[in-house]
Amino acid sequence: MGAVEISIIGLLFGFLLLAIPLIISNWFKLGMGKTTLWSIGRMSVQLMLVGFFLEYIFALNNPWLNFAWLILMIITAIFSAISRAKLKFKIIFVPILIAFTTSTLLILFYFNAFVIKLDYLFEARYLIALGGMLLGNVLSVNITAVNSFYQEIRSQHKFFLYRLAMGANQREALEPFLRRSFQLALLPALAKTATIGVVSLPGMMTGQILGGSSPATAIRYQIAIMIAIYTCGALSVLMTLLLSTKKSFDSYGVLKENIFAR
Amino acid sequence: MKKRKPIIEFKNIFLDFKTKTKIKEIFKDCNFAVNSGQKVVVFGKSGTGKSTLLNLILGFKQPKSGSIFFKNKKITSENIWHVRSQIAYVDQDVMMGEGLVKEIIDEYFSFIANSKVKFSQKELEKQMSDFDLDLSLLEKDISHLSGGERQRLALVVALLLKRPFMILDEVTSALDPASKKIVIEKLIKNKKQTLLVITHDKEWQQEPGVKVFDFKEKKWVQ
Repeated sequence: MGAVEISIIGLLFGFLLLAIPLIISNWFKLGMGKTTLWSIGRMSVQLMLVGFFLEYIFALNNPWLNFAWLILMIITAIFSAISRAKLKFKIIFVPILIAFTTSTLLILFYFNAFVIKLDYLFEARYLIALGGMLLGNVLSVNITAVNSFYQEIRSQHKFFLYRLAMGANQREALEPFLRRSFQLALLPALAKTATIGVVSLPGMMTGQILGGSSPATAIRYQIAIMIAIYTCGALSVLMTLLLSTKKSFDSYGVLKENIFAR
Repeated sequence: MKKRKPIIEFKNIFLDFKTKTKIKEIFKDCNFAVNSGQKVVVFGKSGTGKSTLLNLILGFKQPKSGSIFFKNKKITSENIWHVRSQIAYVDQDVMMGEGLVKEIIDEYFSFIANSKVKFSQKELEKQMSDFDLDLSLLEKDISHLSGGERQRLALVVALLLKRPFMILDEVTSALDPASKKIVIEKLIKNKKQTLLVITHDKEWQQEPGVKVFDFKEKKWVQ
């Protein structure tokens, strides 16, 4: 048993719904008409292309191809993160590369091996779908963490230097800044997690139920993946921040001035 | 000849930085030393780069050329961490962090470099009352303290660290005349401690035995 197929005509009815936000935009002169059409259009084309590739990849289910696709996803996430981080490429590239790759692969294979207990660890459906969920979160929490970390050190530079003057070693001097950016990056997701099931039904669970899984199965997946997402986010933030500090402070422990992009 | 024992010494220091319109020279072949136990006051118009003097000593900035010595040893990126642990530093509108005052104090004493420094409750109480700070402040959130209270609290912490060299940047400018007098007398009284004070306040220079350095002219005037 699977979800009911959406026909082309059905999809057109779906697009028809867009008339409502477009009328609202026009009415209040929001100027969002063009952006709406562009965003929805872009998403549709991207998804059609991805759908085409995924059909192909799922049908072949070749371990090398599956893994290569996952790596491609990771690389895309890395470059997306770098373009949104306010640090120069040469400072942030290696930390993000190592953090994203290790944390995602580690948590993903642990999840597939011990939580789902897949016989075939490179099974396309699990590797790619779950990998995407982990990466989406890794991307957003790392951007928040890295930007807030360096911005706070810069805006509270006096406090940072005072800590050094008080005898702090590099890690001790950075401690309150690490603490704050961890909290900023991870707490919002945790707060959202706490309301799941009451306020919102998460996308993956909805998808699974529509796809024919029993709610009991969908719930177990949802619980396990939320934990995996949270852990993967925390691990990647730790690695990004600690690795980036190696290049962004001089040998006297002071923040370098030329690390910020633009 | 009396043997000099410099605690800090600048030898042939050059340092300039670019402003929008010109290159500003702060140090041009500057030689400057503070001997152990001395009380030195540095004055000069604002904008002359007095704080740069402190930034150089604490390793927050490096000179273009020349060397800085701490107890006759050249300051490097390796030994700067030790040098900092020998200097108690307080500047104007000091930022000590967030949270309860007593927890903030405990945190600074939890640094590895300070782990051997101990102070008794009695010492803390004595220092606080000397600086006219109520003991109830310890239980307060630091954001509820006034600027003057924060300044004096930082001085208390600096003294509790019992470091041989104390550097103060405009610490008395925010204090009312009465507490200014208390603070100056207390800090000058400590014979062993070397003191380097950057200040506009004339009161410091009136204390006996104080040496005075004119930063703009780069020469000793008293």
